[in-house]
Amino acid sequence: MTSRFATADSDRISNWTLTNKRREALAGYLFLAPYLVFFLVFLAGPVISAFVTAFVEWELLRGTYRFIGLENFQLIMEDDLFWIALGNSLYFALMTTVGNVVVALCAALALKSIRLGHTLFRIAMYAPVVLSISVIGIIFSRLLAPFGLLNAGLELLGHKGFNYLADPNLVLPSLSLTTIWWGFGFPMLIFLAALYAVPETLYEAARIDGAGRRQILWQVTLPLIRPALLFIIVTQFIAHIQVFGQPYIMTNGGGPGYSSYTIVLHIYRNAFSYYHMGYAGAMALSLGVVMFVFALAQFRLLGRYTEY
Amino acid sequence: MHRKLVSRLLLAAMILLLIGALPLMAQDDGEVQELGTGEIEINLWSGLGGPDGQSMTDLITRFAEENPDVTINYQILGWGTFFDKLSAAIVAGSGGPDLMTLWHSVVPQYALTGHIMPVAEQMFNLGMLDKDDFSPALLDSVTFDGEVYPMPFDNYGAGLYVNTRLLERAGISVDDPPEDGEEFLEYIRRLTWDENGYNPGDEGFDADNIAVWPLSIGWHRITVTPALYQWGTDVVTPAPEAEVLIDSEEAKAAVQYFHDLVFEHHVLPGVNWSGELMLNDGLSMYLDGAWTYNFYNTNMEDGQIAFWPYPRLGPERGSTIMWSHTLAVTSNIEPDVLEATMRLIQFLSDNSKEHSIKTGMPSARLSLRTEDLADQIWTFGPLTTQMAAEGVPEYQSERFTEVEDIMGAAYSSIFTGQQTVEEGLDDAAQRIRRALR
Repeated sequence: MTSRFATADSDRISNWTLTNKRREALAGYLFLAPYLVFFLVFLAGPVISAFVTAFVEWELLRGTYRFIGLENFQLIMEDDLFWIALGNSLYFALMTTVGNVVVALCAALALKSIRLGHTLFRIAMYAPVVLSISVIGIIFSRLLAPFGLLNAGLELLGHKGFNYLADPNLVLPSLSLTTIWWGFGFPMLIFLAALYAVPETLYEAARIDGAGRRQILWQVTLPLIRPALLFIIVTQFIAHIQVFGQPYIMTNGGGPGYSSYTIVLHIYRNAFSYYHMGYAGAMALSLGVVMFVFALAQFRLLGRYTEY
Repeated sequence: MHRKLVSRLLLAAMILLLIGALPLMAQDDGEVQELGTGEIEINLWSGLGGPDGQSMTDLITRFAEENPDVTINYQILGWGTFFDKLSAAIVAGSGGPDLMTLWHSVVPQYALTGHIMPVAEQMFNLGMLDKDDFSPALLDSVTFDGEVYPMPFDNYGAGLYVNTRLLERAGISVDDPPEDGEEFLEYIRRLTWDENGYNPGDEGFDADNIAVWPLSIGWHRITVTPALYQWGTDVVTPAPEAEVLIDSEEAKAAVQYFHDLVFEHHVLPGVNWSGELMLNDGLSMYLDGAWTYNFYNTNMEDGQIAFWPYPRLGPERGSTIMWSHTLAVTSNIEPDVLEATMRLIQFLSDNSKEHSIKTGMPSARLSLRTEDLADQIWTFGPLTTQMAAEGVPEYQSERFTEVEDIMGAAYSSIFTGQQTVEEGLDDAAQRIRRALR
């Protein structure tokens, strides 16, 4: 009897447990659902669609749509503007990522070491991030104009000004500096969080051992914030290789000549100004591959020195 | 307490910063104005901003008041994004305009793909407007398969705005525009001053410290393209041949003339807009479009700026470029909306003289370019006289946007010294051929 009851109880408990598990799972899926729907409709869907588009000839205004295999990729090989734009984007991404990391890290180190005005400086340094690129673009276009504020300041100091946005050699560094000013607030916050996570005891031990400031930075701080550093480098590089708004607004879409013409501008123009949707899709896919390769390389190169 | 105060001050500063940035954020265009209360709705997209946009808005508002059966959903879009948004709307099949302003140069992109209808032809056939009242060259440029597609609204060109105070300083009469390319170079020399008041060629002239620039060549469509005609060539020939001419010897000679202006004659190459420099006596001459009339008219001191025809620079002929803002109607328009839209086009065309007076943009209707306008608009006489005698409509192409982007980048590379004329134009020709394939 006892055992029968015991079996029945255990069955009930087992059923109850299963139901509970199911309930838990259901709750999990329900919590996931909003993001999942968003992901499928706005991310996975377009990615699959773009993948298919890369293999068709799709002329928007003419309404042509036909499968052409790898022809779009063959056209990429012959398109000198694709390679010019890719080169510019890589140069910009490299410059801006390095600049952002250096400026953000210095700002975070400085913020961590001050007490008075800590909140003020933190908010002030993060503030540009909330502005849109249109606003940043217009402000910096005026600032960097030949008769703009920056040159006026240089003239006051007795120096001759520059034509920052119309000089082929200065235009990408100028856009990069604009972007660093605009965006270093976000990596700064990440670095700041990582710096606060380093135990104070390690600094004390290093100081007792006679380490100077520079040695503490190189031997204690940097090794311990490497995961944050890797995260910043990879995400910043991926973000900056896709630069679009800055040249679109500040250099008339890539000038002078093609000096600031970037790969996403080239994709955008082909898709929405010239209506070559299939070709634009193939370039977007190629850019995805390039970004994947660079991200992988960064993980391989930096990841081996990183402890989590 | 102290921290609280700092936080509040910071918050106030942030709000001020954002308020300061608001005017910049508010520059976004595209807001829909609903004019009128009638049942028939016309969606109108216009690329005319600034003074010509204001004049167009006034006309449309008046039409809506006089036609109570019509509501006009009127949207002004910047030219920079106009065509991208238009294409997106066309492809989406909804949300696009019934009536739109189009440069005549881009009309083939939309006419040959069946996205706009031959509304002008229909209006001529219905007797709403007279075909003979338009320049044949202009109508030809918007005619496909024997039918006129959009209705030309205005017909304008470019020329040379000159600073009369600086002309006087150089001893040049405002009634004495340059006769040819050689004389133009001499004017350029006399209208350049360094900080010590020397002209080029004078002993002690300091080319690194120019105080007054002789000329600005901002936008290549105004400056270089008319010169191509003067050397007997163009960018491309019309479709279906669409032969690329920009790497021809004639084109290279025309562009070389401008290259030399920049690199040997101290002409400003890379500044897109130099209007303020003209008003501040930092610039003597400015090749620019008819639309700039209003800027000077509003801002100059009495008679400070005058207007000369586009100078004759090349060996073949004199010429200036001709453009038109046309009124185009989408192909999938409803019949009752089409009837109201044709009424609106007729109204705008009939009142285009009023638009001329306010904006300096001559009407496309020959009968409305009356002589009295020359007394009211100081650019009108030289502009319309040269357009009638030497005006050439800008080249057209089914791939106009793409070709123009290529040409803009090529000129920019050449005038900033990144490429020679030969290299820049050869590359451009190769890219255009690829685009037209």
